[in-house]
Amino acid sequence: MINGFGNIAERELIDGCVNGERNAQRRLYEKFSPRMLAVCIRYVGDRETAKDVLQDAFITLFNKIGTYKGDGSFEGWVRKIFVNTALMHIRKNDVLKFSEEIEAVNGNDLVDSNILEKLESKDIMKLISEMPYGFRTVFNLYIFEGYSHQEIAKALNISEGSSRSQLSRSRVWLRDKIKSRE
Amino acid sequence: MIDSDFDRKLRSKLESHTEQVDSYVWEGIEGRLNRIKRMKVMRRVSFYTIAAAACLLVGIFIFRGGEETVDLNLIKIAQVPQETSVNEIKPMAEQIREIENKTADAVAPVLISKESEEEGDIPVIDIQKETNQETEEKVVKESEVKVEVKKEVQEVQKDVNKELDKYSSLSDWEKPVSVKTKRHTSLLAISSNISSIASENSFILDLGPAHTSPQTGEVAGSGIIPVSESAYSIPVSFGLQFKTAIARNFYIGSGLTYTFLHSRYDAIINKELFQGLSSQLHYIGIPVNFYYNFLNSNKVNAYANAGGMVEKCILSRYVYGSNASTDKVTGLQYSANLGVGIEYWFIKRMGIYFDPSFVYYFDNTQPNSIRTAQPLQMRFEVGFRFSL
Repeated sequence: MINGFGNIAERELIDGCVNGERNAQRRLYEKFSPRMLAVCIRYVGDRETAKDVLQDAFITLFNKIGTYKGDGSFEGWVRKIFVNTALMHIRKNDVLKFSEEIEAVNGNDLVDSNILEKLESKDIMKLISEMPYGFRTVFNLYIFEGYSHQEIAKALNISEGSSRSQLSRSRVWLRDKIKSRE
Repeated sequence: MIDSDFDRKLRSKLESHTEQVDSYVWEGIEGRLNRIKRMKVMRRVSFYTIAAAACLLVGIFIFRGGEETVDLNLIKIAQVPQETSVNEIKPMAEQIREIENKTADAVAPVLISKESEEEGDIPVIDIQKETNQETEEKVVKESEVKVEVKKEVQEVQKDVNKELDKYSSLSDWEKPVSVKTKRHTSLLAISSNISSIASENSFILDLGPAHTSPQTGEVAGSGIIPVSESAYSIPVSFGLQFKTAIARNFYIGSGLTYTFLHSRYDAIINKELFQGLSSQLHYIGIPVNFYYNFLNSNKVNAYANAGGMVEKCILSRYVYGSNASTDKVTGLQYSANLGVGIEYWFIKRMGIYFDPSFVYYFDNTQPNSIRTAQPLQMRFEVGFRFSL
């Protein structure tokens, strides 16, 4: 391990990208694109739109890779770029739907952990991608990125209370959908 | 199952989840990377070109500083070939006057009073002692010299006239540069221009697809989130330009240009929707243009021009409702232009000109404006030129 750079091969890959070497960029793309496409789909829901976001994010990544100093894991840094690009896309396109979707949830059912265990990751992905934008964004940031409600509020320009409320409703919504698959 | 367990299970399920990516995604990324690389090269080339042109312009301005304003007739004489030795010839009237004075001096008797002779303190030639015959011979000799010099001067004058006739028979473009272009070698222009906005179906729009502005979404951290299509006003510019000749029919010009860009769109600011937010961008730019005159006449010149401009956004202002905010814009806007122009000199030192041209605004991560939505534009510049 060398600083935050995972290993020497990763450092070489990063250096190659900093120098604009197409081969290194291609290898980096192949390494991260399957996982990052999943991240994009989770945020924007639609696969085709997620591919556009993926492209934009990789362009940003290659342009900014010189600013990565090795503090923290490289994958974490890469993931942050993809999440920010997806958020920018969401803000641009669906911000007005936000408040309407909040009213659309009812119920507070708990789900059996066995049911969740039986579900495959692609099924959960499908459910999350069907989640309304407002819920999904807060849900993703809190559950998968580990953001606090304060950070979510700042990133989405909403109040902390609103963030808590949407997270709670998103859980209810997802449990409801999982239960309906029984 | 409590929330934290539910969250943890979801996380573990999706942590290593991957999706298959189509090959065309990489092709798209590669294409965009190639375009960015080309842009970087172009930006570098245009920077060095503008720097070189600016140095050239400064050099020309410094070294041409001592140029004198000379009468056109004298310039014409200076163009006569060396073998006539006209550089040594004084103007005709002056030469004749000199010869007459010389002859007159030679013949004029020096009158000396008897008193002064007696005092002997002034050395004089005593012409009283010369014989009448000697005096007559001297007068004849001086007269001959006068006639000879006159003939010589007349011959030279004939040669000069011949040369001038030769030039007057030439067409405008064949005349020597200093004679032809003297009047308009250095020009000062006050200009204003507007750029057309293409309709959605316009071929101009087809030629220049919109740049993807990185500041779509939230506008550069200002908390402004556009939620509608923008309506753009016609861009307006004003400027001052200096233009000078660098070779026969070739000119270089530079100066300072101010441009105002305006657009309106609906936006969300602090969760509140504002309709018709006014975005106002103010740019200051330095243009560098090269001109080639392909048509010259006394009153009308026509030319082709090509060049570029580098601009800096000095103020980005957003007005919504009764509020206003400003934003800092980083980076420079580069553009290239190609066009033709015509100028009409309605008085000796003042003319009007019209330059229609195509302008392409490069993708330089500038705020959303007509330049990012429609990078290729038609520009119509009109102004006054003053001959210095």
